Amino acid sequence: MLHAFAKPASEAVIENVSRRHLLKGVAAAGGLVLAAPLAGGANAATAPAYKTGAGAMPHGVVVDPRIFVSIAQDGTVTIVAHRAEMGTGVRTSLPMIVADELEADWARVRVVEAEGNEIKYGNQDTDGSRSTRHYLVPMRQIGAAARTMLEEAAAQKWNVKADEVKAANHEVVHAASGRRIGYGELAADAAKLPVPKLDTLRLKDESQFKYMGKGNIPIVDLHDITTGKARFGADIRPPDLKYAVLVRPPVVGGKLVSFDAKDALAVPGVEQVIEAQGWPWPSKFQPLGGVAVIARNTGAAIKGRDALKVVWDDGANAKYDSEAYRAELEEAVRKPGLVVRNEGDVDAALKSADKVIVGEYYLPHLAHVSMEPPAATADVTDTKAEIWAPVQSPGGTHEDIAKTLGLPPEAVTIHVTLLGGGFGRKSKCDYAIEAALLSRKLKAPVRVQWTREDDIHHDFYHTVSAERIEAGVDKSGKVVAWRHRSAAPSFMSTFEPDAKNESAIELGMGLVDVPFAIPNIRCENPEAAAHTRIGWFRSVSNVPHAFAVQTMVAEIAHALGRDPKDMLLDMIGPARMVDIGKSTKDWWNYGEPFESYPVDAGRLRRVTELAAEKGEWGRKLPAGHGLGIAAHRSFVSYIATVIEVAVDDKGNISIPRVDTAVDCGTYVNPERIRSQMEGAAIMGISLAKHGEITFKNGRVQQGNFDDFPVARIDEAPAVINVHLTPGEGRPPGGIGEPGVPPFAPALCNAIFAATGKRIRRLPIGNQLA
Amino acid sequence: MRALTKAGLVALSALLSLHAGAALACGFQRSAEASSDMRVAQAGDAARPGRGPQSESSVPTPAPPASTTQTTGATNQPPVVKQMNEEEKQKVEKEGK
Repeated sequence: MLHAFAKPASEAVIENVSRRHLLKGVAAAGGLVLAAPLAGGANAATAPAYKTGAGAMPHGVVVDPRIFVSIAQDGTVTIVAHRAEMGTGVRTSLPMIVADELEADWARVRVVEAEGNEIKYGNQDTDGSRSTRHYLVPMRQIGAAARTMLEEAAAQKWNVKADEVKAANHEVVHAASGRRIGYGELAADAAKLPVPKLDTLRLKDESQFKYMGKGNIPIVDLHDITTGKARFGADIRPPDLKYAVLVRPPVVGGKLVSFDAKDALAVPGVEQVIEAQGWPWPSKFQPLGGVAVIARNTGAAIKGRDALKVVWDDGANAKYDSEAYRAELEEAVRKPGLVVRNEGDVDAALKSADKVIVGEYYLPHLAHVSMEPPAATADVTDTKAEIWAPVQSPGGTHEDIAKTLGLPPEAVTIHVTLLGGGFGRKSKCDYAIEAALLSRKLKAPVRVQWTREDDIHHDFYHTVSAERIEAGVDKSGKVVAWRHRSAAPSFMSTFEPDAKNESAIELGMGLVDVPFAIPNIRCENPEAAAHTRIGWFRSVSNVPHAFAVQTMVAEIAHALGRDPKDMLLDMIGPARMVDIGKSTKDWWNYGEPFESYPVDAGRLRRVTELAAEKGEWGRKLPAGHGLGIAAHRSFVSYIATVIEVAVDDKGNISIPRVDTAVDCGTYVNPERIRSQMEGAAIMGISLAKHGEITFKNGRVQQGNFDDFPVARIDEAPAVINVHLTPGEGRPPGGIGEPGVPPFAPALCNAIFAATGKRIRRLPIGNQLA
Repeated sequence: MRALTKAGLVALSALLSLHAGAALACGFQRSAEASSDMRVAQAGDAARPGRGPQSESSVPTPAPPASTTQTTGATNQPPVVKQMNEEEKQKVEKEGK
């Protein structure tokens, strides 16, 4: 029997008037919330004194042990993970924080996944590298609150004062009498107690942590993933399940004209072929529509689809040609654009400079290609909907399904499976909506399975980008002017028909927030209308912006005969807080308050120096080898990477060694940080060497890993060293994404050092042949 | 060994192309060529289903060439989707992605 720390709604203690809209909803749902701003309501002894943007997220933060923790009579502690697991280890890291504060024995902890319900759990968007950043303190508070309730229950049982007892390793001890009692025996009594107020909680001192910061806990899903027991999107099989694959309009904005299903229906196992509902683009994450083949198994459905004859109206993007568009983009950045940051007088400084160095760069569209293509199962009736899907945004999926089906939110249940990778693609729940619509139509459970071709042909693509930087250098070799023009279709075009310029969010990812000590800086953003669906891809606009900026630094160094690392440090300048907001309006700092998360040039310097030191910058290398360096702040973390590359006489690349320095402030799970940096290296190799989605007549020209390769094991770096800086009590930064942006420029800078060939257009492809 | 594998695949692709038609044959040869420097293609690669309908066509369209300055997004969404668009725009502007 489980004893959740649950109380009737009538006894709910509700705090924090600033979040009444949320709390009203929680009370209505029968839950109990002990909620407060992360620092505002708690004193310095009970919570770290910093604020985050967590409270401003949709549905904010819920801090309630009764929702997140339950304890069985046998002592098993069950902790709810409310974020989606896609390989980051968040299903381990967040419960681990609770367990540490709770003084739970990790061996007796069980983790369960929350359903999509942001009213109950708070914001669940598992993107933006925010999970640990926003939930370190709330998870600690949840664990501490549960521990306090257990201690109080034991004290009452023994008729002693609460401060005479202490929880330790899954039991409460009364030192004076030597009595001890396990959590399982206390759970029922503890559940009857009120949840302590935040400002009364005792958080553990860092020196008492057993799990946090140690890296001694394997991910909870490790065994199931490695033995095939883990349940991903395609593993859900309710009774009477029907299997569907769809053919969708090949051009975004296109629609179905007609189809002939005769041959498809002749395929054994195919049961029905029906039109699938779609919406005109842009329509958020709504399905594209098309034709659905329904069968008794996925294989039959795919074969049936192969046999279809379909006629399309390709619509307004029928002539989208990415090569022609590239020429337009490159021309656009040679002309003035919307000024998005302006400091000093760039025109005058460029005019009076001793030398002007110009760099132009191009980065193509990319597809996410998570190893698990999208898949979702739905069981929808007239009155309720139940969905099983690998989604990064369980709460958003819940809302979108309810609205699309016209059902009340309480009639919709979203079960979140493991995600076989996400990278931002699975923040968009179009595949779950497809399944829901088909299930309602067929009055049966339906699983929609995307093939790899579906995934590559109908993605929400990483944007395509042209970047141009002009740097003016004075006679002393100091960079005195910096004009960076970036043109790229915005992901806002997925919601907004008229979007032509990058949003403040995209501009804030490495363009306007460049932290260089240059007196004259101007950033401009020429127009770039989208002609396909644009989404966010791991690290988003940091990828093109960092590539341009960090390549340009090396180009300047070469032009001046300087060492690239020294040049980079010179341009970062002295340790200081860089006030980006004074020279740009609507600056977006990853949603975080500047006072907690300033742009700290000192931290960028430190990781640059650390990567250089650990990577043995300047060491003697064999012929054909080179070292490259790049550093970048993103998602309020600071990363620098030194890469050693080897290029043979045929232009083949290998990477003997990578050294990455990470300053993400306070960290929880160093083992996962290392794995994220390793994954970022693999993704960085993929996008740098191979990644390119092209369009002809509006259609994506790639379809599978034969023409859109990802890095294979023989391309992986032989050694990846990850060097963490001490947290020093700083607020935690992001980790899931920040390893990616510096990788490609560091690699290409290393290639230049090895060969003298400058890579200005990605992918590298055969440019070295 | 690699040469043998490649030769075998090319031969197999030629055999299968007799059955699968010219379009499949092109795909097969591309896979075999790619295998020499990227991967060892499997015999079933090109034969497996899932590439999409064999017969797709499009009606003529007056679409203009895509440009950086001319948006092409539709504005005729149903009210519910229009509202979802607006809400998501506000959400992303507020929280980021």
